[in-house]
Amino acid sequence: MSTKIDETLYVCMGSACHQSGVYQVLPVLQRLLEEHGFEGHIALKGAFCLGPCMDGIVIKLGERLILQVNLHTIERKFQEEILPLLQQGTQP
Amino acid sequence: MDSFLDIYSASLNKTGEELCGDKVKVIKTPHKIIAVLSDGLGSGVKANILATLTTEIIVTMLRADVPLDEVMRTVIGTLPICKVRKVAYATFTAIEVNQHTNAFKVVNFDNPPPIYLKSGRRVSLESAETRVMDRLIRISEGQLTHGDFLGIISDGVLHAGLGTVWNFGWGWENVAKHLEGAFRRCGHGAKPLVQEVIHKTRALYADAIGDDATLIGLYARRSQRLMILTGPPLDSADDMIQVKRLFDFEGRRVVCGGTTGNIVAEYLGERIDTDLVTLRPDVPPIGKLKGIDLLTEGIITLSKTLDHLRGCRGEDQLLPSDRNGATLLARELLRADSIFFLVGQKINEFYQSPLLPGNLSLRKKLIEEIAQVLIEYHKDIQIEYC
Repeated sequence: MSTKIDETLYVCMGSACHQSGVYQVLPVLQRLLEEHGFEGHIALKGAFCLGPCMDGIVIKLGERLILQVNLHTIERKFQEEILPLLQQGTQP
Repeated sequence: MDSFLDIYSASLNKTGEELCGDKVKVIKTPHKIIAVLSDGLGSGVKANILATLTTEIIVTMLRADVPLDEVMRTVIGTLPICKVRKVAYATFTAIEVNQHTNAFKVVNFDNPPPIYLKSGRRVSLESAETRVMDRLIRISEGQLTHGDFLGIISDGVLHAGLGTVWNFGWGWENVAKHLEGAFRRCGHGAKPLVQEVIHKTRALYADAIGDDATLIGLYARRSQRLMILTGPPLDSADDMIQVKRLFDFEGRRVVCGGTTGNIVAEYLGERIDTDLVTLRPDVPPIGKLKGIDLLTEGIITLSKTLDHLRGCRGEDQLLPSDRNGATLLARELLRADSIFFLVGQKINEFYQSPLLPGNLSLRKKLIEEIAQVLIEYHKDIQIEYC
């Protein structure tokens, strides 16, 4: 079982993503990570503009970008895109 | 510009009056600085009107390089005549400082003589007397060097403590001595010195202020410089050139903008660390980069900073105490004397979205509005677009 703790989830804090509700999404993401036992294994950090502003909020994991995250899509995006990536990389 | 003239003024209104009978106006043109203090006859509304008219006329005419006797003729010819005292009267002191050489000229009509300190020591300022329209005018000239303080007072300061602490009021000699002490105690700069003297004036009046009292201080010092890089250059081939200019700049360095920050990070070969503690619902968090004193998001932070700058009337103590991108940026701007904005004009397509508040799409307009407010607060501003 791997306990890799240097995996970092970057959440874009650029102008566009901020306007799309980063402030509200961040605590939800934090809760989801905790609920799935990733606390202490995955670092959650802010990033300056990650690029595709039209498709915000942008989340970056390794070299993968997860797009169009917002308060309505965050649960689904987490289950469908973020969780599989995290489970590949590290086992909580 | 290596030298900066720090200017600050404060007034006390005569107890019971809503308006001050002393009026101060300071303007900066690319070539000269003009500061005028006028003390209107009496107090309250009437004095305020006399003093306001006087300062406005003098500032406007001096700005246009009109000769002194013509200025005097206009002032005297314009003031309304007091029904009680049958005179039209407001004293004034006008200072002109050449922005290139720091040579100054003080023109004084019936105000107390200016107080001149060199490195905190009082030096006498010779004055020549001349008559204009039968009014006695005193003119002093000199040159300000770093560490010089030039103070202009209205007689309300001299009269503080009259008949209580001092038989004949605080007096010019004592005020000058107090300024020397204040220079040692309160640090350098126009604001601490002026505030110290005005506090002391209030204390001597024991809160029953008998006359409007004003001090304008001019303090010459090395300019505290700040450069702001905001927005990616139109042509991305210029990115590294503009970033290099930022690092070559001697003074404090600020970067505003996510993409701009990434360009600077690329130049340094570093990664931006964001400080999530500074994330607010209406202000994105700041970041950290080596050699950069402040790194913020761009358009939202700038827009919020403009609100703060307008709200605090130029006093950094009146900024909200919260530590976030916008308050930190406003503080940097207020603490600088001269500010150089290097504004990249590449458009981020997202900002063209009609869903965004109007001003978010216009970095250029936002910077111009911020610059306008800072000019009102007497900062030296330079803007370059790239």
